This record gives sequence, structure tokens and C-alpha cells, in this order.
Amino acid sequence: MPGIIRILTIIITVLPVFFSAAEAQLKELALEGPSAVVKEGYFTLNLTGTASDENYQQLEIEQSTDENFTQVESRFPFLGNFTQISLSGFNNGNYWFRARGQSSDGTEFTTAPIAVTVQHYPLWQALTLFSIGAVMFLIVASYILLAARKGGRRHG
Amino acid sequence: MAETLTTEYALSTELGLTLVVLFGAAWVLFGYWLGRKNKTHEDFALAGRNVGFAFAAATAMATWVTSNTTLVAPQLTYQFGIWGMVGYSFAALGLILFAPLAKRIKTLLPNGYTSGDFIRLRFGRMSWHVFIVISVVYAFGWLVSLGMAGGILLEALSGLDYHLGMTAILIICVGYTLFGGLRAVIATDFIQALIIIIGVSVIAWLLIDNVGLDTIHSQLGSDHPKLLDVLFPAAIMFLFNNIFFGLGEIFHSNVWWSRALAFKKNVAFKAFLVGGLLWLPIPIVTGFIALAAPQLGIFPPSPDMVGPTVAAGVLGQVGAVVVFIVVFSALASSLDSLLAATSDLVTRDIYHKHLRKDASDGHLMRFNRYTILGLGILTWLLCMPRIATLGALLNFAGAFVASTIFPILLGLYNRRLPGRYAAAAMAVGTAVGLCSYFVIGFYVAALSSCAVSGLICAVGVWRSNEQFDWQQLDEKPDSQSPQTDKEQLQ
Repeated sequence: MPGIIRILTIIITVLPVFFSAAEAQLKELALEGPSAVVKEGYFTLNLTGTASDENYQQLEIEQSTDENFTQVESRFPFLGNFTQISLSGFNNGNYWFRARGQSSDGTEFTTAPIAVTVQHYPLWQALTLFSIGAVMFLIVASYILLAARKGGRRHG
Repeated sequence: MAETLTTEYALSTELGLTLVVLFGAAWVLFGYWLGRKNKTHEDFALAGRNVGFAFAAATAMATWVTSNTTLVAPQLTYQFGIWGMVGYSFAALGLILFAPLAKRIKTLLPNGYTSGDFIRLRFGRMSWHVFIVISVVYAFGWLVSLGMAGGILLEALSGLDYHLGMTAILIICVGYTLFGGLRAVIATDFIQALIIIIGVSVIAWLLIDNVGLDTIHSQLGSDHPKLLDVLFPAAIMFLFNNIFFGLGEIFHSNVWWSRALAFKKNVAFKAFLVGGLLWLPIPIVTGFIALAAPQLGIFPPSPDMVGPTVAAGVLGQVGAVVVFIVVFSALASSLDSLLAATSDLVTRDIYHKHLRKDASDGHLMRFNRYTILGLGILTWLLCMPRIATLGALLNFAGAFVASTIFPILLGLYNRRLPGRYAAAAMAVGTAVGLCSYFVIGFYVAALSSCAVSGLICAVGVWRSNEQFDWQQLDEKPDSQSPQTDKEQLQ
């Protein structure tokens, strides 16, 4: 019996700590994105600080060209219960993103905005690699075709 | 602006699991039924070297339609736009250009078993060691990507936990490969090829009918303009990298060599050519699916989930079942091939040639089966932590395999390339490819690896006076223990 009382005492002492931790966790909801400049135009955003059993409603990413979101340019809904989202096809520029949604108790939330900078590789770099690739491919393909013809004649 | 739409899963978890169990049981039973005809190790590993044209072309095409095509092609389209889609379809060049090589392989190595046999006989031990490392890394890269793809597929369609889906597909593929060997692999590939062609065509037709090209184009133009840009720098860099990755995969891998050796004489060339041509449009269709994602308001957590998610989103529950069957078939057709080919490589090249030279035919067949099981378990362990996206994982292997293109090519047609240069080409090419992968990005790894390897091979041919004797490649079959073979036949 004293054992049970001790366990109950521990639970009563510890439970509020858990609750306050959960509240703190909800308050710490944050959006994370790429820290470096994005060179490919695609990246992943991640909503962190979420409780694993939380089922957020209408969770979406808002995109704007300014930090204050004077105008929301685009909205990207999350898939299912996932709290990560992959976006692609962005031109050079600075973009601001924030997550918005409702927790299961109906509380609406908006995370602090984060900035993502997209700066694609210079075109000359891409075209140089493209040209090297094209020349190498021509060498491989023509070698195979010539060698196969020669080999075919010899074996024939 | 993207429309907001339902983000629920297309299938319930229960239905997803039921489909896995039904399909799994069907394939394993079919593998068991086919495996009854295997009497010797040659039957098990090379289907008796007697595969005809229809099965040969189907297995070439179906094996190449894999998680790469059904999941990574949409991923790369989602990331690189139209270049991702078109560039991916150029991987068909790997099959098409392998057609003359397959004919040459069958002529030069009538008794050969594996690509490792060729490297050992043509270039010697040093090259063989480098080659085996490359083959093993590649095989595991591909195996892990396939296992992961199984988990991703089920997670995207039904919300089923990734680890459960991944475990299920591995158990099924290991099961029927274990029972049936290459005969089962090729027979299931034939059925899977038919399912893939019909399924992919139906999905594409329904997608265009439901969404429409104009709406997709206008949505991409406003919110994701780079996906339509023909001068998208990273996508331009990716284009030839993907071609060389494909060439490296096919030229070196025992998956394709074992097929070239298993096909009937005069079938290999036509089979690979037709297989490549049949494969060419498939990534265009599967990749196109990803372009509809923004219009539908579908933004996946990981880009490799975009294909099945969009298809299921457009086509509803029935469509999701079709998607499941198609992708499952594609995964299975590659996973079984890779398990069979890698276990052959381990059994023949490592165990038989180096550890137990006197092993009987029956013993080799048993060892081959244990190896399939071991590979399955190791793959499962490596799949547990979801380490990267499928595209990034596969292209890591590109740094390795692209370094083998020139050594294989010159090894098959040129007498002058010495073994030490072939070894250096593969080792240095791989190292440079890996540096490019980490310093620049996954989309240049194969290209740089192949360029450096080609340069070293060119120096080797230029400086060498060797004249390799092609007869050395025709290794006579090993003598077998009649007693054990008799036991095996019983």
C-alpha cells in the first residue's frame, strides 16, 4: 500500500511537468527550411515541435515575397498527417514561408516566417557539363556501333 | 494558386495490407511452382541458358522498369521539370546500347556465369577486386532503394507504416526468388511487364482526361515556372549524368549479364533492343504524373512519394489499387532480378572461385539460396533507417557504376587495355565521382566518374602493347561431382 501511494505521489508530481512540457512544445512549433542557398529550385520544409499524436487540421504553408506576408502568393497544403513538405520549381529570388493550421482542440496557429533564397547555378556551368556529356556520349555510342559492325563482319 | 483539396490517403490501411498479402501469396506460389523445374545450379542461376525472345524482351523491359521508373522518374520530374522526365527516359539508351554488347558477351563467354567472370578473365585479380566492390555497393544501393520504395509506396497510398510495407515487399520477393531462381524471375517479369504497360497507359489516359494539359501548364507557369524552363541549370547538368548512370548500371551489372548469358543464341541482341524501345516512353508517362501535382494541390513530404500520391489522388480508390498493382509489379520485377543476380555473383565469383573450388553443383545451388536469404535480411536492415530520398540514394551508386563503362566496353572490343589501367580507371573514376556527388550534387556524380575513367582507359590503350587473346575468356565448365548431382536430381 505505501508503494502504491508513493507511485501515485510521483505521478501527481510528474504529470504537471509533462503537461507544461506539452504546452511548451506547442508554443515551440516552428518551420524549418534549407539554411544554405538553394541551387536547384527545390527544397523541403519541416514543421518541428509537433506532438507525435497531434492531428493538425488544415495544415498548410503560406508563401510570400515579404516577411510581413502583406500578400500571400501561394498556399501549399500538407499531405495527410505529414508535417514535412517538398516544394519545387522556384526561380531565383528570396521567398518567405510560414505554416498555418489548427491543432486538434481547434486552436489556430501560425509559425514564425522563414526565408529561403533560391539562386540557380550559372547557365554557362550547366552548358559546359552538358557539352562534356554530349561529347562523351557520342564517343561511347559511336565506338559501340563501329566495334559491333566490325565484330559482326569478323564473326560472320 | 494551388487548389486546396483532400489530403486523405487513397486506400485504407486494411485494404493496403490485404493487397500486399494477396499479391505476395500469388507471386510466392507462382515462384514455387516454377522452381520445381530447377534441377541443376545452371537451371537455377541461368534458367538453363535457353530463354526465348518473348520472355527475353519482357524481362529486359520489366527489370528496367523499377522503383527508378515508377517512383524516381516522377520524383525527378517534380524536381527538374520536363528535363527530369525526358532525361530519365534516355536511360533506355542503356538497354539499347547493351544490345550489341550482349551479342558479343554471348559469343566471347559461351560458358560464362557472371560479369565478374569476365573482369577476372579479361583484366585479372586487381581489377576484379575493384569491380566486386563496385558491384556490391551498387547492388545494395539498388536493393535498398527497392526495399525503401515498397515502404514508400504503401505509406503514400494507405498511410501504412513505412517499415511494415518495406518488410512485406522484401519477404515476398525473397520468397519467390528463393523457390524459383532465374526461371521464376523471368516468368514473373513477363507477367509484370504486361501489367506495367497496360497499367501505366490507363493511368496516363485517366490523368489527362481528368485534369487536362492546359490547366497543368498554366498552374506550373505561375507557381513553379522552373519546371517548364528548358534552360533549368541543374536539370541540364542532370541530363547526361542520368544517361551515363544508366549505361554504367547496365554495362557492369550481373543482372544484365546473367540475362545475356541466359538468352538463346541470336536472341540477346533483339531482346535488349526491343526491351529498350518498349521502356523509352514509360518514364515520360510516369514522370508526367508528377507535373499534375501542383495543380491538384498535392505536395508530398518527400519528393519520391509524388508519383503514387498524385495517381491515387486523381483516380480515387480504384485508381489507387491500379497504381499499387503497377508499382508493386515494377518493384518486384527488379528486386527479384537483383537478388538472383547478386546471389549468383556471390556464389560463383566469391564462394566457388575463391573459397570452395571443389563445391558440387547441388552444394552451389544450396549456397545460392542461402545467399538470397542473407541478401534479403541485410537489405532489410539497411532499409530500416530511411537514409535518403530514392533519387539521391540511386545517384550515389552512379559514381561507382559509371566508372565501369569504358573498362567494360574496351575490355569487350579492344585487345590493348591492360588490367592495371582498367583497375585504376574504375577506382579513380569512382573516387572523383564521389567527390562530385558531395561537393556539387548527385546530378554530376556519374558524368565525372565516367569522364575520368575514360581518360585513364584512353591512356592505357595508348601506352600498351598488349594483345589480349579472346580465347582466354572461354573458360570451360567446371567438373562436377556426379554423386551429388545425382542426389540433386532426385
